[in-house]
Amino acid sequence: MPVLADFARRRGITFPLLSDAGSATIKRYGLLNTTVDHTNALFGYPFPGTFIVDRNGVVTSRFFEDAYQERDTVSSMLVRLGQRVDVPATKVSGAHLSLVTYATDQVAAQGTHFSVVVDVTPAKGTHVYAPGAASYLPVALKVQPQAGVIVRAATFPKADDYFFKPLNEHVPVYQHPFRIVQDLMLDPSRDGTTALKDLTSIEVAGHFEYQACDDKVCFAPQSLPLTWTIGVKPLDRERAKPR
Amino acid sequence: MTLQPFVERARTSALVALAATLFTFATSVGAARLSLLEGQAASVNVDALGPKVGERLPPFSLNDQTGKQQTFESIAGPKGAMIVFFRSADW
Repeated sequence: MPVLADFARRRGITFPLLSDAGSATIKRYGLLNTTVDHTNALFGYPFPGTFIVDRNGVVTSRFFEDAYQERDTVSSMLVRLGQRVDVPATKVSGAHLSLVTYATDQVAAQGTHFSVVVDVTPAKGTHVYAPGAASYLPVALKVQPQAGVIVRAATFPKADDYFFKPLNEHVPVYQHPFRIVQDLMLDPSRDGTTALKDLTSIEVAGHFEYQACDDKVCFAPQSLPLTWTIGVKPLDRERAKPR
Repeated sequence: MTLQPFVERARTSALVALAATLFTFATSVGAARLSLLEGQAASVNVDALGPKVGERLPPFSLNDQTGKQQTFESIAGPKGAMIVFFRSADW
């Protein structure tokens, strides 16, 4: 408890930090980190994660990781829940659509899970193809690989079913505004430490690929270049100094 | 470092963190990290652990940083709570 009090004081935290002596609650919740051997000094930690719980105590969403070094930011959780976050965004216009893109966090440390978001608005009367569409180029967000950045899963929304009568075919499309969330992480490994050494920010580059069609014509596939800049901060290694 | 994002963005609603029992490390940060990564060879499906979406959170009663005993009812705001499980407030 003195450690928590010290941490709260240093960080200006006013919300409750709860001490789970002997990891009793962690065990009761079934969250004891079993990747750690019981002889390891780290034994007793939970799997890191977050529950969002309504007023009645019912879990409405949850975000868990298996490595204790890794952590979702609040913003990256919010965008996956469809919420807006107040961060600088870039507007991009392409053929037959427009998009707004941003990184959920302006600063990250090794192990931080953040996301890049692409909010796409197809032009009126047009649609683009969703993942799984055969014979058409589905939308894709391709992030250029680089040392220090781990490209994690991307989340696409549920597609609309589009019936194209001339060919008597059903295809999954997006014809209304939709969001793609691509999760990224600053590499927490030693390779990441090496790659990110001395950097104060990184630029992540990618392309948004799509093919738009209206009810008569399919237009040429497009590729829009996108970039996001994220500040790099060092890990906080300050130890507690309980009074 | 682990709590930083939550600290910076704690404005949303009641935010609670359950800390594991705190340990003092004799090992260096690097050595501690390496040993856990080695231990992770057997992957765990974390989505299968703990209360699921739609389930009620099991009750808890724990002391906070001021020594006050807290339960879900005492920490929840009008919209509920965000409950963060984290490893430690001390390296």
